[in-house]
Amino acid sequence: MADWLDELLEVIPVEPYPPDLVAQVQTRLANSRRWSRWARNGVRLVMVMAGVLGLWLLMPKVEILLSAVSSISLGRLEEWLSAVMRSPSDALLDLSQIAVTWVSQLAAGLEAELVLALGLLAIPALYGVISLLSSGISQEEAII
Amino acid sequence: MKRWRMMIIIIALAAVLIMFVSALLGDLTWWSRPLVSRTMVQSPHRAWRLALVKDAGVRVNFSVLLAGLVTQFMAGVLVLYLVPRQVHHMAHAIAIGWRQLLRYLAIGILLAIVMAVVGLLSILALHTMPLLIVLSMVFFLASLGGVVALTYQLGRGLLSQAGWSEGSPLTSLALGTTIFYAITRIPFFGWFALVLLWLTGAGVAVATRLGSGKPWSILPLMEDS
Repeated sequence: MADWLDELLEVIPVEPYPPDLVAQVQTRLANSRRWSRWARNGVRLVMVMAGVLGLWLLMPKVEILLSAVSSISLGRLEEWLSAVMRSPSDALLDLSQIAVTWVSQLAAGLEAELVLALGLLAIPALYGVISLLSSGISQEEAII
Repeated sequence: MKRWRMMIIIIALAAVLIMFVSALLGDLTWWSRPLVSRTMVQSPHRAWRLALVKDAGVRVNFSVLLAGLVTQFMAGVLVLYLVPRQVHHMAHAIAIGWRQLLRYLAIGILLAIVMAVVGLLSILALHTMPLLIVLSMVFFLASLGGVVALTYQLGRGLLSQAGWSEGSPLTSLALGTTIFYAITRIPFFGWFALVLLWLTGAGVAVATRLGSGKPWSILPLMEDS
């Protein structure tokens, strides 16, 4: 009994391979590789530029971030721990109030320029992490 | 092998010496204390020894040193017993070579930047506000796991070179903890070393997917489509 594939093969016209088929495939592969290399280098360049721009924008605003962090000190932590020993529920309430105040202060200090700088800094950093994480595994298993 | 054994003993002794000196020089008030009596003036070495023993600052330094060392070791023991398989994976990932360690450090630094930025930006929206605390906790725990693996692998590597690898993993951890703790006690350089160590630890933990040994991948989602 003839298989349907045999029937199909009979219908297909038999054409000779073009003589430069191998060369064509090799050229297309080389072009594809060149293009992906160019794209990768382009993305890297954009990421580096974004990182530099982010740092440049962030530098004058570091003071705002540091002033927010400086409100957390060892003395305050010690005070809070002694409050926990006295009354845990009150200490927890105090902590939530302090956290809300601190967060609102920080949020008020976050200007549009600073948010943009942070975003510009985060994207290349994330790209770097992903590149480094996926460099040790095969293409099929890669994160992107 | 004999050379390695000698080296381990020398390293351990050097670590203890560094810790001792750092505790001693952490507070110099005993050194500048006036020599009160005539006999003490006549024998200043004895006077300084007495001052050293009696000085509260030096005592506090030694207490802090011991407490820190014991706490770090106990935290390591806890991690070893809680997640031994994960520590094993991380330790094997570290053992590959120095270039890998540099890669883990780079991952740790970049990850710290990403987490700090995401944490800061998360406070702008009400529903993402707890992310700052959650990410800090995750980063801390990941770093702790990675640091324990680094410590364990350092001890294990040295002991295996000396032919003492048959001992308990806790011995490896103890040796690694002593060395790393001593390095972090070196004035000025210690803080820098500590930051590098914790960032590398975070990098190791993340690169090994929290010690699971599986790669980071979204392939299952791509298979769905």
